[in-house]
Amino acid sequence: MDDSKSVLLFSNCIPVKGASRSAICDLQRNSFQLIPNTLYDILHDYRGKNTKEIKSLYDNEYDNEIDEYFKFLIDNELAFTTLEPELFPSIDFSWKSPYKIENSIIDIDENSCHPFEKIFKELNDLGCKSVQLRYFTINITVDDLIEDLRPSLDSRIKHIDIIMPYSKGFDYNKLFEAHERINFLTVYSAPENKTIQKFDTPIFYTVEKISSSQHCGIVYPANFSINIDHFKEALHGNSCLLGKISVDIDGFIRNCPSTPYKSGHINEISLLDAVVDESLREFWLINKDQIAVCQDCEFRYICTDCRAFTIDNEKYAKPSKCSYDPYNAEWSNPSDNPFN
Amino acid sequence: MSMYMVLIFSCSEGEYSTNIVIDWIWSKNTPFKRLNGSDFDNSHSYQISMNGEGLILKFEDEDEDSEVNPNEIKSTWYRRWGGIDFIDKAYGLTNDIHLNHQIRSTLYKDFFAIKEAITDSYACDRSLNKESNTSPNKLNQLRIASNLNLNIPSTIVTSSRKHLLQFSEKFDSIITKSIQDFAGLSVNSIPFALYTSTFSIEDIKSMPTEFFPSFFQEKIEKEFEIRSFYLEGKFYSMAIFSQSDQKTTTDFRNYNFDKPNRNIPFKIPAGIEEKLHSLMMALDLNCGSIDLIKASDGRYVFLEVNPIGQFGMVSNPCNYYLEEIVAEYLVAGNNIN
Ligand code: SF4
Ligand code: SF4
Repeated sequence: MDDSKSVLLFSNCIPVKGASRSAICDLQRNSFQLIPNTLYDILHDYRGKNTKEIKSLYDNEYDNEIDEYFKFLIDNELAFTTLEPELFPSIDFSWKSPYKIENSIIDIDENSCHPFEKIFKELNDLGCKSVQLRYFTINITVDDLIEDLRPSLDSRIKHIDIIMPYSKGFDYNKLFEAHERINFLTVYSAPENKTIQKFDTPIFYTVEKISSSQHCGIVYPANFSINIDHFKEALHGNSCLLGKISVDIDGFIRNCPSTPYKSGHINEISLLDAVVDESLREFWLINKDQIAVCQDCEFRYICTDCRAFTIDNEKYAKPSKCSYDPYNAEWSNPSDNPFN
Repeated sequence: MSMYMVLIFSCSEGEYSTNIVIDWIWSKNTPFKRLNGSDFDNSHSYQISMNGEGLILKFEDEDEDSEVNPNEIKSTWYRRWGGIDFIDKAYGLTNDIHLNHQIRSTLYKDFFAIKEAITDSYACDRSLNKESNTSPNKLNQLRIASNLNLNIPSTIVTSSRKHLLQFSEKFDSIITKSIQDFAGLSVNSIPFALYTSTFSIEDIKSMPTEFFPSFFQEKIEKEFEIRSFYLEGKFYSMAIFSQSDQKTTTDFRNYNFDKPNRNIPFKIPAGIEEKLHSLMMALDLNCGSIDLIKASDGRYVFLEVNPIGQFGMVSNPCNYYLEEIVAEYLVAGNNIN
């Protein structure tokens, strides 16, 4: 390798330092590479310096180790060499959005009587892009579902996700014909785990019983989102709650249906009132750097946070459904470990 | 009264960038009207009339308030038009192919005149691109670029196999591409895109002695490619590293999804930016996507500029928020009176 050149990480490969090791988050290829913290320090402190300069900063005592590190980065296509590092600026990860809210969860059970007309109209006025409806009912008919969603038809909402219980002979075709914006359908309590690709919208069957909002908030590597949108969200605010407003089964407006703070009831206030409620907005901006343990974790900008289920229900505590310990780099639930 | 202040010409399908720009305009509380080419096909009722002040466009299914009045429009964006294939589908369906051809080309010209009248009448000082310069002539671009001392690849247009052979002998490898912007063909409904492709000595030998005049260039050995979104003197550039992957070395639009090219922010050296700025002025374009190559020998080589390039492919990976920048340009028209 030519030591007069700089070995530069591609600027969408971001090193993140943890307590015991670091991760290079490859935001373009949706993957991460674990690296030792010593390499992190070189990459972070000496970005742009050429190899010769870096080696001499270590008094040329570690030339072989540095060569080996850089070879690893190049072989894995995480870095390239250049004589003009100043022409490759870092990505500015600022986050902004034309929408007043980003997404919303609506929970429905047997006793819910949500004013869907009002909800969808207000979501539309806020520029909401995606809505998830979670049916914690024993049964749901296709006509009920079509009717609930009807007010979404002439709105700016682009994506609708549905979680619903299995019901034999359910006419998916009829549903998708009535509502083209459904882009995800999860069917729980199904007879088997499988994905049905027959329609434009994939249908996920799971045997699991997702019968309440308690099933949310599990953090594990298979669920990591390693892309620029998620990464900048996580730097700026909360990777689950930023711009989220939800309605729980009883009609109360919350960040998500499981977070403790209620902004008011959907029959009494509007979602437009709720988005200016400071106590609710506060959760949008809690990022991982403020959360105990997570702030020392190399995965903090690629895992999805949860503020509803946290250790001892503390506002700034680690999600209780994550089994990772960044201090020992171990998963207490071994099946979470991506390297097993 | 309607008060549309921003007017956008686009098409209804596959316009991801337009949709996001519109969301940003919406967030800035500015009334806008989007006209898609398909709004003018034979399934819509509309009329264009003139009064002393100009041309008024009105759609029958909308209420009277939604007519588009040129006096209210403060800025326009000519993105695309689209939606003209209704002519092929609905007219000239006789048994005589030659007659069909004449009918359609007459109707195309008429429809083009309507389109021109509409876009001309809404022209205002604050316009991103114009209908009249959205079909780039790559030969003119290269000539002007070269006059401005930008590096360009050695280029010929030839109809002669002999000349092509002589040209190709000077270089390790040559490429061919379409002379003007080419949307693609469809053969039995299977779409074919025309990508830049290398042209081998076997290819040359398989040509007849004379052929339809075609465009050839030396193939530049590249360190990486550059795509730059240009808006009113500012450059938002991205380096595209494709070399490590055989499938994309000639034209990066041949995506390889397993191992996507590396697309990262880049800063074009100031001297090159100045020349490119002069080029855009000379081409009378205030917005466009510029393609360059950073050659292995260190030169920056200009390839072409596309006035209507999809800038989402630069905006997203570099987090430039180009959609907001475009929206701001358009919305700012309302503050100028
Ligand atoms: S905060 Fe937790 S429970 Fe609420 S939506 Fe996010 S992951 Fe689920
Ligand atoms: S410890 Fe925190 S940051 Fe690390 S994976 Fe678990 S939830 Fe994410």
